[in-house]
Amino acid sequence: MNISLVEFKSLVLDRLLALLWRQWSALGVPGHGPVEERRVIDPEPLLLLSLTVARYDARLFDEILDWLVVNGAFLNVQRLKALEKRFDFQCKAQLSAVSELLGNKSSNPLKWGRLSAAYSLEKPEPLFFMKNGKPLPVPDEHAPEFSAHGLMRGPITLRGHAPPFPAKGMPSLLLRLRALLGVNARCELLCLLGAAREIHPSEIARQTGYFPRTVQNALAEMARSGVVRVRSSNREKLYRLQPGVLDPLLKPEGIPIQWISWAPGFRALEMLWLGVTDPKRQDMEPLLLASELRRLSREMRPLLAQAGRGSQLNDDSLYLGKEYADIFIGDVTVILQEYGQ
Amino acid sequence: MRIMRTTNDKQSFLESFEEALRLLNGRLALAGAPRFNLVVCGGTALIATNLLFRATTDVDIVALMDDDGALLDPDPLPQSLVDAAGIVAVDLGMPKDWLNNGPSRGEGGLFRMGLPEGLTKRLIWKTFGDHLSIGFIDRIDQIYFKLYAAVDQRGGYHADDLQLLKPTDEELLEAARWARTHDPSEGYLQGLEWFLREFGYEHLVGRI
Repeated sequence: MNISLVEFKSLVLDRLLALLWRQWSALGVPGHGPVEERRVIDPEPLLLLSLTVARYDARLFDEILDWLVVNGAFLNVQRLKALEKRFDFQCKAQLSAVSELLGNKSSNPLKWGRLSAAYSLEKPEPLFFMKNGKPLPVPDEHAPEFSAHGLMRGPITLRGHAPPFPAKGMPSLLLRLRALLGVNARCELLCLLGAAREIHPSEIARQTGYFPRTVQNALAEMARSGVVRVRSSNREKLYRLQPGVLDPLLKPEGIPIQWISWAPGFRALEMLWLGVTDPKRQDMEPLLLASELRRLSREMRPLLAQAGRGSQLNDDSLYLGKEYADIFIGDVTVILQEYGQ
Repeated sequence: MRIMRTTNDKQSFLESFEEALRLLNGRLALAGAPRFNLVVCGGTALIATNLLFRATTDVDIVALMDDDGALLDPDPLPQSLVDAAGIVAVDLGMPKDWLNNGPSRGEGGLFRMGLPEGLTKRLIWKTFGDHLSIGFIDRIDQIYFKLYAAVDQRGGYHADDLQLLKPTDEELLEAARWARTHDPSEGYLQGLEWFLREFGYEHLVGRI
């Protein structure tokens, strides 16, 4: 390998944290550095990835909590749960703990109730880690919302300085639509309709994580508004927006929406991070490590394909033995770079 | 045509072979599999014990052995071993069945028919990590197996291997007697006589 696993882990973590900061900052989290400007941010997959990766950046983790207290009403808890389950995100205990916290802070505790009761770790462990992988020391006093789920951390002091998400700009479009229309599937549907000339309901379902029936029913109703048009082709129905009607909202600068299928891609990135930090994979001889990276790439590949990035992982069967490690590292570096742009 | 390889070929084979078995050991460890002691015959054993070198792509398991030294039937091979070997095959671009129990498969296989007396004591062991050791069969056991297979298959590469091992008359006669315990039929005896005549051991035909 041209770089060590330690160096690779460090690169992956830096890129992932930069991506998370970039997206949360675009939604109003006070931060620094570049901010997502062009792509619509999907808050549920973003939170699911953050709950795993931001364990290595306690400041980001708590800034997200602060933001959630102010903006959590605009998250779709049902979708959060569905995406976590469908893609098997590994942040189950953190999600339960954050839901319990938000249930306590929210004017609508029932909304978070189902998630907060969902999961606890059997064996308690520290919530936060330093970038070198060592646990961050835990003070004697613990945050009860987290310790109840097996995650040990100090008391939470929310600074209360998170602003509401921005009322303009492409990154916050989905949240803005939810503010306008309510937290329901139609907001994602409008984003997808704004991103494509026309689109099949099953494609929307695939890209958003909603059930196909939910999408079909919603589109059928939306078509009665005259704003959404439907065309039959080969016994399939294709939906599109009536040109011009919603452009000030969906295409403020005349540029079509850039919708990314974030959920499968973010699960692949979570898999990557958990894969390279897996204690079993540390201090391995190069050949066995290459074998493990090959396994990891084969797990990530279908998810990246769903996210439209399947071709960015080279066919591992072309690279035997140790040779594959460098190929995988190169591929992942490009993927992280493109996600972070 | 058999091609005898050069010293470089042999070194390269030994390195690849070592790499595959060390990776197999690592895969077994990662899977939490038990330790395996494999008793191996065939081309790999010929090369590993420095008897002769010829091209081979597989590791032929004739038996398994527990840590107390008792031989175990290798058919079927333990699933954890098959799974780990499958991953190694993918990683290194090897045939799917590179690690196989071919010589001892089924009722007619060598293990169930009975292995030569003293085979266990003659094994030459090599360890590839905490989860994998391989006992390569000794030259005399190779002669037993090769004669049996050469007669069974009417020559072939087993006959070539046998000739390259340069067995003495006594060794061949011992091997013939062992082979007949596996197949005491008149047909096999005729096959044995045919082999000895065809491959330059005619003077032994009357001594079987």
